[in-house]
Amino acid sequence: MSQTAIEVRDLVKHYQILERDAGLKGAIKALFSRKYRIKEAVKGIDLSIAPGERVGYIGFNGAGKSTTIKMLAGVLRPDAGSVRVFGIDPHENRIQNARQIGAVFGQRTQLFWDIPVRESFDLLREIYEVPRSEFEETIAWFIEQLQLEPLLDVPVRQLSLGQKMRCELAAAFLHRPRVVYLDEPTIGLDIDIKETIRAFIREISDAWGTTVILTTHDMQDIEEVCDRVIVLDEGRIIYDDRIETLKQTFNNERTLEITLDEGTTFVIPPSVTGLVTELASETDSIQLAFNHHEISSGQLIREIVNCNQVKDLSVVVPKMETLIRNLYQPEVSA
Amino acid sequence: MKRYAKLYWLYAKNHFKVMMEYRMDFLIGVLSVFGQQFAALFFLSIVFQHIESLNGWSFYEILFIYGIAFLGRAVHHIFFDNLWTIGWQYIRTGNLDRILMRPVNPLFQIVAERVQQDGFGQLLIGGSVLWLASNELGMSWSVMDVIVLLIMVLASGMIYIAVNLFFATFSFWMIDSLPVVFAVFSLSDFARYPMTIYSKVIMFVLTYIIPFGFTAFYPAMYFFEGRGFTMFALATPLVAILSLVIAYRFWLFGLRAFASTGS
Amino acid sequence: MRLQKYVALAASQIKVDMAYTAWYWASMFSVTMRLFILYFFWQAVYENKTDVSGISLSMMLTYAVLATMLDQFRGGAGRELAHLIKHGGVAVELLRPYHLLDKLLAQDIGTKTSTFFRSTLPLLVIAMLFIGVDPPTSLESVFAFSISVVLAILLATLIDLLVGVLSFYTVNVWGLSVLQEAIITIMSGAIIPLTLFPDWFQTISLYLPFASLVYVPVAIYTGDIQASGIWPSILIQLAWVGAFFLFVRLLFAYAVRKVTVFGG
Repeated sequence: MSQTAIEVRDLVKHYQILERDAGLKGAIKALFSRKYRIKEAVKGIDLSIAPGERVGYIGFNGAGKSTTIKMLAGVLRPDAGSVRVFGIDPHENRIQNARQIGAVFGQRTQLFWDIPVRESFDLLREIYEVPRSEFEETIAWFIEQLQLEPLLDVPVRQLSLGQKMRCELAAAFLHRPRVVYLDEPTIGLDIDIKETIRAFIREISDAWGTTVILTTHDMQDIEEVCDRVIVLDEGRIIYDDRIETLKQTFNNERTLEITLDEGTTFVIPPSVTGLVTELASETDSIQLAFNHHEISSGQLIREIVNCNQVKDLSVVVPKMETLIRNLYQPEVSA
Repeated sequence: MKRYAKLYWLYAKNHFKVMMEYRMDFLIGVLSVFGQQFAALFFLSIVFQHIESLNGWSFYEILFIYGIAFLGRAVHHIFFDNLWTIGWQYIRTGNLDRILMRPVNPLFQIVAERVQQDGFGQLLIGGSVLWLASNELGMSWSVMDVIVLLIMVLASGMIYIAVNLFFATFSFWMIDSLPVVFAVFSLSDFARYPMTIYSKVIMFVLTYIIPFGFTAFYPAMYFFEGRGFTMFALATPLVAILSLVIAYRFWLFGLRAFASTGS
Repeated sequence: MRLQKYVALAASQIKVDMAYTAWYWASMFSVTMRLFILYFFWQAVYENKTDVSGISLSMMLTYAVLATMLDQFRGGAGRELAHLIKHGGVAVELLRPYHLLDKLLAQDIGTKTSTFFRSTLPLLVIAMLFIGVDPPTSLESVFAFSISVVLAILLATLIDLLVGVLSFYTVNVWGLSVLQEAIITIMSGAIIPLTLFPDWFQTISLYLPFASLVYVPVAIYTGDIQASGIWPSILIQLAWVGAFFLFVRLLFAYAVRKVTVFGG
C-alpha cells in the first residue's frame, strides 16, 4: 500500500474548439487560419487514489468527468499538471499504461462487432498478452459470475443491451488490469442485471485489489459499489470523501411531510422554531426539514399535532441522490 | 513483430469467419470485382481491335502496366482498405479512444480490423493479366526478375497505402477527409496508361507530387527493354518507402494533435 | 394536391445534397480528371489516324464527354432503399402516407435535378473549353436527345430500384450492386460506343435494356444513330422504362406482403 494507484496534481485541460464553417471550403480555410473557442474542461484537479479503492466519480454532464478519465487513460494529453497511474505517465507511455488499465465506455464497444463473444475474448487475450492458463481461469470465473455461458457463441451485434454490457465488463477485466474505468456501466439496464454487474465489480475488485473509477448517474451504483465519492462541478472537485462520511454528514437530516385538513392553516409551534426549516409548502401540504439530532422525530410530531389539524404525516430519510444534489446546491440543504 | 503477425492472423481469421456468414455475397463480390476489371480490359481490347499501337505502345505492353497496377491496388485493397474509414468510423465516433486504450499500435489495430476479401479477385486477375502479357511479349523471367517483380508490386501497393494514409489523416482536422481521399485517388487512374501520352504537367504531378506514376508505369519500365525511364523504375522502391515514411510521420503528427484536442 | 407532397420531398432532397459540399467538389474533381484521362487517351489513339471505324476524333471525344456526364446519373434510389431495408427503416416508411417507391423516385429526381445544374452544366463548360464538344447535328436531334436522356435516367433509376428491392431477399446488397455496376459499365456504352464492339456483342445488346442507358441518347446526339433510327430507339427506351416500372412495383408489392406476413 506504499504506492498510490492514481496520483493527479493540478490537472488542467482546455479544449480549443475549432470554429469552422461547414464543407470543404471551411475545412481548407481552417487548415490555414484558425479561430478557436477555448473551453476549460478541467480547471486544476488534485487526486490521490489508493490501490483497490473504488471511487464514484460524479457530476453533471460537461462537468469534466470524461475529460479527466481520458487523461487518466492516456488518450488525451493534459495541458498542465501531472498524472501518474502506478507511477506511469499515461500519455507519454500510453502503450505501457494500456496494459494495466481496462475500460467500459458507455455505448462504445470493446468487443468486435461481428464476431462471437468467445472469439472477441480470445483476440483480447492476444492483445493484452494474457497467459493461456491465467486467461482460462479468469474466463471460467467471469462466465459463472456474469452468466455468460449462453452468450459465448453469439456475435456481439446480436446481443441485447444487458447481455452486451455483461460481456463488455468481462472484456474490461479480462487482463486483470490494476485500474478499471467504468463509464455508465448500468445505464438503461434492468434492476437484476444492474445488481449482477454491481456484485461483479465488487467481487473482482476485492479479489484482485483492482482500483475502480466509476462514473454514473445512478446513485444506487455508487452506494453499492464505491467506498469513496468525488463530485466534480465545472471542472473542479467540490466534494471528495468516504461514502460513510457523506452519509454520516447527512445522516441526521430528515424531512417531515405534513398534510393538513382542508381549510386550516399551518402554524409552527413556538417550541420548535429555529429547529426546523420550511421547504416547499403549499396550503395543505407542508415539508419541514430538521435534524434528527437536534430534535427527535417523535418530539417534533407531537408538537406539530398539538397545534395543527393534521390529516396525514410521514418522516422521510433522504436518499443518496438527495444528498448529492444537496452538495451542488448547499443553500437548500440547510 | 512476431506478436503483430500473430495478432493480424487472429484478426484475419475472425474476419473470414464472418465473411462465411455472407458467403453468397462474398462470391458475388469477387465476381463483380472481376467484372469491373474486366470492363477496363474489355475497353482496351476493343480499342486495340481498331488500332495497332497507342503512342507507340502495344496492347500487351499496356496490359502489362495494367497488371502491375491491379496487383499493387490489390495489396492496398486487401490489407489496408480500412484506411478509407479512419475519419467516419474511428475519429468521429470515438472509436479511436478505445483503440488508444489498448497496448497495440493504433494504426495496426485500424488496419487489422478489416480484410477486404474481394481484393483477392483483383490479385488473381492482375496475376493472370501479367502472365498473359509477358507471354505474348515473349519476356523471359529469371529468378531475379521475379524477385524484382514482387518488390515492385509491393512498392506499388505501398504508394497507394501512403497516399491513402496521408490524406485520411486530414480527418483529424476536418469533419471527414474521405471526399479528399476519393478525389486524390481518382488520379490513380492516370497511372494505368503509359505516361508518355500525357502532358508534361500531368507527368510532373504524378511523379513528384502524388507519385501514382510509380504504381504501375515506372515499375513496368524495368521489365521493358529500350523504353527508357530505367532510373525511375529503379527508384520505385525508394519512392515507396519515402512516401510511407512521410505519410506515417504525418499520421503521428495527427495523432498528437488528436491527443491535445480530442476532437 | 397529391403531387405537392412529392415535389416537397424532391426539394428537400436537393437541400440535403447541397449540404455535402465536400463530396460535391470531390466528385467534380474526379469527373474532371476522368475527362482529362479520356482526352489524352483518345488523342493517343488518333495519333496516326483520322478515323476509327468511321468515327472521327472530335466525334469520339464528344461521345466520351456526354457518356461520362450521363454516367453520373446512374442511381442512388436503390441504394437508399437497400439501406432502409437493411437497417429496418423500411417498416417505419411503410407506415407513412406515401408510396415508398414514389418517395424514393421523388428524392431521386431531386438529387438528379441538382446534379444536372450543379455538376453536369459546369462540367460541360469545362469539357467544351478544354476538350471540345461537337455541336448537335440538327434541331431534331437535340429535341430527340433531350427526351432520350430523360428516359435513360429514368431507366437507370428503375434498374437501381430493382436491385434495391432485391435486397428484401438477400441480406447484404453490396455484392449485387457491384455486379450491377460492372454490367452497366460494359453494356451501356458508357466507356466506348457500342458500334466499336464486335457484331455478336451488338446483337446481344439489342435485346438488353442497357444500351438504352447511355449509348442510345449519346448516339442520337452525335448522329451515330441516323434520323430514321431515332424514334424507334426512343420507343424501345420507353418500352424498357414501362417494363421495369411495372416489374419493380410488382416485386415490391410482393416483397412487402411477404415481410408483413412473415415479419421479415
